[in-house]
This record gives sequence, structure tokens and C-alpha cells, in this order.
Amino acid sequence: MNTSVLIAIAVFLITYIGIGTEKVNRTVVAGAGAIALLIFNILSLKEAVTTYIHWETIGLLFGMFAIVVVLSEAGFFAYMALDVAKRLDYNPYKIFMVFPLVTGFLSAFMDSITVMLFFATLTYELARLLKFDPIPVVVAEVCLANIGGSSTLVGDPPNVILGLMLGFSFNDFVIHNGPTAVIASLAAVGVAYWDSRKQLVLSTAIDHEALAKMNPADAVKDRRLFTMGLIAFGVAVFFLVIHNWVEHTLHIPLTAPLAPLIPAVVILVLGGHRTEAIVRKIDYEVLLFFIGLFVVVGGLEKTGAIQALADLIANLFREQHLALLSTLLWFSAVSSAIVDNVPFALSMGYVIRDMAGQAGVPALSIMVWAVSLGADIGGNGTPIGASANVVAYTSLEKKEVRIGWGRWMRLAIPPTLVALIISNIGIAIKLALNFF
Amino acid sequence: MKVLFCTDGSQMSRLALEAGARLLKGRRVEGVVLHVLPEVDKRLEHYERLHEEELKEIEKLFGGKEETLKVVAAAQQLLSKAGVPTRRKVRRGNPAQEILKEIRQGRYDLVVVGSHGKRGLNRLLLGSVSLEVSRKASTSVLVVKAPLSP
Repeated sequence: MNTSVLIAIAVFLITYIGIGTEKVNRTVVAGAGAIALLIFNILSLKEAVTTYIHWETIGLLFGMFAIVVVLSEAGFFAYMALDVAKRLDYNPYKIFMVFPLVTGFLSAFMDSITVMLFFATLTYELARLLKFDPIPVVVAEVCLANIGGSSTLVGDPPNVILGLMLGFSFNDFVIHNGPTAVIASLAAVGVAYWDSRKQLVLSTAIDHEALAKMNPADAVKDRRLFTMGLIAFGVAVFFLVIHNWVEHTLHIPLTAPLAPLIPAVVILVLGGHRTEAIVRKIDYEVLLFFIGLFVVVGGLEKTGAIQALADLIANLFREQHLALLSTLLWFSAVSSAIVDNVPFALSMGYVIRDMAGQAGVPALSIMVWAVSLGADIGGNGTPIGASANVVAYTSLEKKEVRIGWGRWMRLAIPPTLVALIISNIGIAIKLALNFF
Repeated sequence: MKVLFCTDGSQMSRLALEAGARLLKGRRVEGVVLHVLPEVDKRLEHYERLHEEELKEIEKLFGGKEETLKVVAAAQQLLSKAGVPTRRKVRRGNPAQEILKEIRQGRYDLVVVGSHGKRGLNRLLLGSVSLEVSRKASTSVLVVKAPLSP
């Protein structure tokens, strides 16, 4: 092993540990790792910028973030939660069943961090009024947000990375991960509900007066922005569905990143006095974090470290397709529960790309489905498994609703395990039917 | 006599406040109720900053009173009924360290704490807040383990 490989591996491991320990801001850690590789001349700046940073991923995330900011600024999340709660007659049992499905659905198309920031707060507020324990509901919401996120290209950052890096479209994810995610979501919410139904404890001391005053329409801060946000969101999803067809049949370069970017830019132009606030609220820190990671993992790829790992895994599992796919799924799940799933998905993207095409290894596509399902769903396991978990967990703790790691894991692991088992069965069926 | 009453809203801290108030009955007490909030994760802080206005709107919509205020107000009310007037203080960070800092800065004659708070498991893992406070405080500490007999 030459010095360059050792340096690239060392920088990657230090960055990974730095992100995991959270002592220093993760964007700073990823940035420092990227700069270290440039200083050690593992990569040139030109290579980093033109080859290893996936600008398509950054563009797609920017577009989606902008649309989600517009929706949140207009009061969409509060409106949605209140409207659903009202339709459910503010019944905590119904809320427990339906709210997680709503977060799952929203997270299939939007950034799950924002979804959970609002839903954790809204669930807490509703729980306060309706006098039920918000913890099992919020944990179920997070689980479903992560499971729902696995169903589309834009649902979770690992999917954006794997999809754009390896050439899989929005429709590919919907067709291959979608059905598994839907079944896993229904099963997970069922398990979560069964597990915690007795902990909800209904109270008779509900503040009916406060409930009667609640009007979902009051949550909408700006009707024009609300409508514009919903239209932009609908257009982005529509473009994502048709972009492949448009590109190949009409020869118009409507790429996946352009799908949300076009409506996002239109909305910023038409946003009037709100535009400045919208632009300010886009999460640039996450985009910078991704840029740093692309460079750090690019170092591993360039020096051949990833190829060596890919060869090792391919040799270990030669001709054992189901064993390899199951290992990819469960290994991705466990790793994602421990550390951030973004650097993991990025590295695994290169690993499975380098494995694909070798004799005795399954097709790239089915390896993508296994890694993405594992990395997205596995994040549920601990309060730090995904950013959405961190935000939901700490937002409740800040409100003096103490969860603790033990209770989180006790509540999150059963639905997560069920979802992963269903995913594994789904992958096995795909392999048997040769449908991937 | 300057007394620091520590509360985290738990049943045990309530018992501690009741016991402290009973033992101090008839004395001239200058009381302070201290509540230590957990440290906020940097990532949550970041997202809350991005969506600060919308989150405030939600709080307004629900007409919510912050839980922190409720915890401290309940403790103050309990002590006031027992004839102990108090001021309130809220700190953020590690509970034991923040209580110790408050003791150093406030020059208290007595500190009243419950033997364990909301996080019972912490006692096994890290040593409880009361244990650390009683070991390191430069002033007398009343650690309440059970209600006083009538």
C-alpha cells in the first residue's frame, strides 16, 4: 500500500470519527478533511471541483431546500398537521396512526429534517393540549420519515447521492424502493402503535376550549406564498417524474437537478419581499458539508482504496448474490445507526460501482436498492442515526420532554427491524424475479 | 439564610422542595429556585435559527407557555405556600456543573436537592447530580431521599 492510499484512508477515518463524535461542527470537519487532501496533494483543486464534487447533487438539494423553505415560511407544516389532527377529531390514537404516515409521505419528497423539526414541535403542542405522551408518536414519526425517505430519489440524501452518482432516476427509485417502503411503513407504524398503545393514556382534562379555537387556516401566514410553494412543489415532482422521458425523447436537457431548480428559481423571482428571507433560510451548511465529503471520499476513490475494498468484498461473496445483498442492507443499516449516513452512502456508492461488472457480483441496480434501503432505514435505530432524529430528539428534550437513548432505542428498534426484514425480503424477491 | 432549591420538575425534586420548606419553617429565608435546562444540540440550534419565526408562530398558535416556566413557577408556588419566598434562576448545561457554578457565585448557606431526578439511569452511569453536588459543593447540601414523616 503506497503513502497516498494511507493518507487518503487516514483522512477519511479521522473525518468519519470527527463527524461521529460531534465535538466539532461536521461541516468544518468535512472541510478540514478536504483541505488536508489538497495539502497532501492527493487531489488537485481542479480534480476536486471538476471530478469529485457532484454538483448535480448540490443543485438538486438546493432546489428542494428552496421549495421546502417557501412552504415552511408560508406555514404549510403547521397547516398540514392541524388540518390532519382536526380531521381525526383530535383523537390521540388516530393521531398516532396517521401522523407518522404523514411524515413518511412528506419525507418521500422533502428534506426530512425540516419535516421533523416542525412535526416534533407540532406533535408536542398537540400532546400538551390533548394530554398524551408525545414521545412514542414522535419516535414513530421519525421512523416513518426515514422509511418514507427511502422510496424516492429525493427522499433522503443517500438516495440523491446514489441515484445521481450511479445514474438512477426518480422513477427507478419509486418503482424499485417504493413498494417496499410502503409495505415497510405500514408494518412499522402498526408495530409502533401496538408497542406503545397503552402508553398514550387518554385524559379527561382536555382543554376543549383551546381546541375549539384552533383553526388550521390560521397557520397559513401568506396565502400567495402558500399557493406558490405548493405549485412549485407539484411542478418539481412532475419534472422529476418526466425528466428522463423529456431528455431521451424530446432531447431537452431537463436533468434531475433542474427539476426542482426551475420552479425554485421561478418562485425566488416571484417571491417579492419574501425572497430575501427564503434565500437566507436555505441550509447552505449542509451543502458545504456535502462538498467537503465529496472531496474526502474522492481521495479514497482516486488512490484506489475503494477499488481494493470492492475487490475484497466481491471475492468474499462471489456467486452468493443474496448473501452479498443482505450483508449490504444490514451493514448499511447498522453503520447508519452509528454515524451519519451521508459519508457512508457516498463511499458505498463508489464501492458498489467498482464491484459491479465483476464476475459473480449482482447487478449494480439491486446493490443500490439494498444500500439505500439499509442506509435510510437503519438511521432510525439511535437518536443520532440521522439528522431528522437529532432534531426531533433534541427538540423534545429542549421542551423538557426527556426521552433518553434507552427509551428511544426501545421504541425505534422494533419498527426499524420489521422495516429492514421487509426490505430484505423485498430484495430477495427482486433477485428471484430478476426484477431490478 | 440564603437557600438554593434545585428543581427539574420530577417527583423527587418536589419532595425535596417540600422537605426543605418544612425544615426551614419559621426561619428568615432568602430562597432561589434553580432549574437547569439541558444543553441544546448544535444541529437543532442551527435549524431552529433557520426557522425561528415559523416555530414562534406555532407556539403562538397553540398559546403555549414554555414548560421551563411551568416547572419553575410550580416550584415557586409550592415554596411560597410553605412561607418561603423565592426568586427564579434558569441555567443551561450539565446539571451538576451548573448547580455548582450557581453555588459558587451565589454564596448560599444551604442547597436543597432530590436524591435523583428525571434521569434515574444517570446515577448508575455517571454518578447522580446530587452525589456530585454534595461531594464538590463548598456549602451544606440537603439531599432528600424520601418524604418527611408528618
